[in-house]
Amino acid sequence: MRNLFAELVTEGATKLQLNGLLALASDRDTQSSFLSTILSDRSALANHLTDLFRDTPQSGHDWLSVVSDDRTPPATLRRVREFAKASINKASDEGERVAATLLYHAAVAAAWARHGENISTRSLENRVPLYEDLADIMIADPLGTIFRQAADRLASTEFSGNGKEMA
Amino acid sequence: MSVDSGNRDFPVTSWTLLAEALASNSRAVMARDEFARRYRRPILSYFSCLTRDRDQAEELTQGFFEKLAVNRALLCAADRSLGPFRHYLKRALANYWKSELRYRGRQKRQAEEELSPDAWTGDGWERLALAAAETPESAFNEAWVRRLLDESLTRVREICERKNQVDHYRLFMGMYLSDSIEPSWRELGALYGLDEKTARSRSDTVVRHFRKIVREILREETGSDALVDEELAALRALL
Repeated sequence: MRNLFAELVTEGATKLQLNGLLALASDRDTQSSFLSTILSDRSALANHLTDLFRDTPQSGHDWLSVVSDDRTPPATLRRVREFAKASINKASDEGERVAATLLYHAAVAAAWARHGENISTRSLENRVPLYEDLADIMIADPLGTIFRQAADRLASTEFSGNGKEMA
Repeated sequence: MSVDSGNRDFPVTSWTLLAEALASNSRAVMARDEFARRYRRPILSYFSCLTRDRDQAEELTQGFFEKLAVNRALLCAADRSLGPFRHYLKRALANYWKSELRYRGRQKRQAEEELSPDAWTGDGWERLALAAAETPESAFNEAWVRRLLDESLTRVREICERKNQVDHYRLFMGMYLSDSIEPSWRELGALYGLDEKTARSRSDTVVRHFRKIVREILREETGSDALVDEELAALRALL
């Protein structure tokens, strides 16, 4: 029987139990957060993108693949980013919203990681924590590698006080 | 800021504790000891996963804390505005690991006379990291969550003891950290001569203590109220 008064009281607790305790501390439904366990399921993400982008000839897997491909140029990544951003508000459910948001961030991260280009309208300076978390959540996915590379590159980049990369 | 935690000598938050460890006074030594006590588990988990050798992991953990103690520039690089403290710590660990491997690679080359520095090619440092199903990042993240929850539950227990709510605490723990698969409020309540509704109500009292404490800790670690729920979502997704 667990010693309720031990210092390491979660010793032996399952991940489900740890998750349940974290959920208790949340004020709102955490499933509405972008950082969701959906992110670690590429097939689920692809299906959500296929549904969201039903008016395009590409499948959800195609969208994820183009961002994952090392050869995709910045101009294409920029178009992916713009399309994903515009689609976020058209999402009909949480899964589509998460998938579109992920695609947006992946396009921005890929442009930065591979080409050193910031295709976002905002500074990337404060995105290290987000990219670190995405790299860990998606560690088994090629996109996880992109987020890791983007985080590493950001961490080694010096930014000025207004968030612009120092020359 | 500190939570309602009785006579606790050190601040509950990572950034504040770090600031105390940076100070040039006698309290800084104790603050660094507290820092090591508080973060030893996720750091040890990270190195254990990398090395798959307990002794090496202990040595690396100790070395990391010693390096923080003498190289204050590492601590000064921490910037609360750039995100939660765990990101900073994880990156510091990765950098420390890389530097250690480069150092060990140089030591190995000096010990092996048949090798010259020019003969050492590629990322040989990766050979020291054995393949593992669990990644050092996931080991660190899980240990981080356990650390957060253990700290929080310790404070919750102290509050309950002060308020004569020990049975409330036992009911809460009986439900949320039960060894059995699906405890019921009726069964839990019966253990303390309570009906189902009263048992749940008393546990909810502890839930409120717990939520307040966890959120206060995370508010300090993330730097803002708005980021607390994002951090909670991130920690859940990382498990």
